[in-house]
Amino acid sequence: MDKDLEIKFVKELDSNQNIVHKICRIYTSNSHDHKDLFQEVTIQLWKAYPKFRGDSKFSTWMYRIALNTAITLYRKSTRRIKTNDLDAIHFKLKDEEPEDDEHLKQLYKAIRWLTDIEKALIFLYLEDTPYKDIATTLGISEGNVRVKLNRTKNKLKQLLNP
Amino acid sequence: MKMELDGLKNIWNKQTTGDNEKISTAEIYKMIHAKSSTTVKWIFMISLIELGLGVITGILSAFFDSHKEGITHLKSMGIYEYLEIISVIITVVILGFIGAFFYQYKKISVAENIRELINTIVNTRKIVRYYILFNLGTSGIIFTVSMLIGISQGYTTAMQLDGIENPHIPLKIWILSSIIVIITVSIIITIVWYIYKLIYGRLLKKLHKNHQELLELE
Repeated sequence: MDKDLEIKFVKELDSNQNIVHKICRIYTSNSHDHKDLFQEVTIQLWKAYPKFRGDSKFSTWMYRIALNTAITLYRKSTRRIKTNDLDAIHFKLKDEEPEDDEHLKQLYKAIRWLTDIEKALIFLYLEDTPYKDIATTLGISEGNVRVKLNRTKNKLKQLLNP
Repeated sequence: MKMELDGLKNIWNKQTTGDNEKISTAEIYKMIHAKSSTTVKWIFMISLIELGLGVITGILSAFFDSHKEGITHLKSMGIYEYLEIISVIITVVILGFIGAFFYQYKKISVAENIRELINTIVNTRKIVRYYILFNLGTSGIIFTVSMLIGISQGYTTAMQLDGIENPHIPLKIWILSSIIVIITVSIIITIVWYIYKLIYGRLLKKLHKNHQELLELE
């Protein structure tokens, strides 16, 4: 593939890498797997990039490819013990307040208890994705998105406030 | 303190990449040229081996002496021509399986929606599963028929050695040996099939779980 395309892709991914990191934090539980999944998402995005027509925003297109990779394609290269290590979560908060930091970590911890599909739904909800777009990303009807999202939100509330 | 989702949504949107996680552009360049290791790649490799094994064993068996002896015997029994037609049909079916597999595999696209992607992967796997079932079935039938031919031959030879010319195998022996052979072959095929399903069950566990969850939503 040509060099210009590669430069353009790396630039776009670099400025949107926060999206991939959020997905990696949800679907993996340690920094090694996090980087592993990031790499796989990058490869899949690059493979699909020549067909990206720009009808949608780069970030919207990324959601689909990254979630597809995390849910369906990703295979851990080695077997590791599953942990829910909160210290391995390395986000940064704008106008950081210690309480926010703790709450976000608790949110990640709770999300990790959800199923793969529920994780995708909650992620898209937190990212303020319209129901219509959630439906097309998952391949289910809008009505079913509403029903399943409500159920998942309730499940998450219980996990957050046991 | 009670944590509300709407409040958490605001915090969620304030997060950026931490310094420990940030991937440099140099690393991204390296990553895009790295080797990918996905479930689909595994499925593809294993499927190719499975499809290839069936074809290779077929080709190899043609070179063995026992195969040639078998052909001579089948010719003397007058059923060789029929078996040739059957083997052409089997070859056409196998080629059909291989064609369908590649067609379905080419349809797998990461840019599809999650449900469609899982569906296409599951369907690709189904083709190989049916191919294995078809192979097990035909092997079972061929094995059963050869065993019965072998038994009849053995019985006839033994009788001829005892001085009986043109001996007829009693119906009782026919029925009994058929039942024993069919049961044995069925047990072997069932065991092989379950072991096969168990191995695949592990490989595709995550995929099937997510597929099931999406199906239940509709």
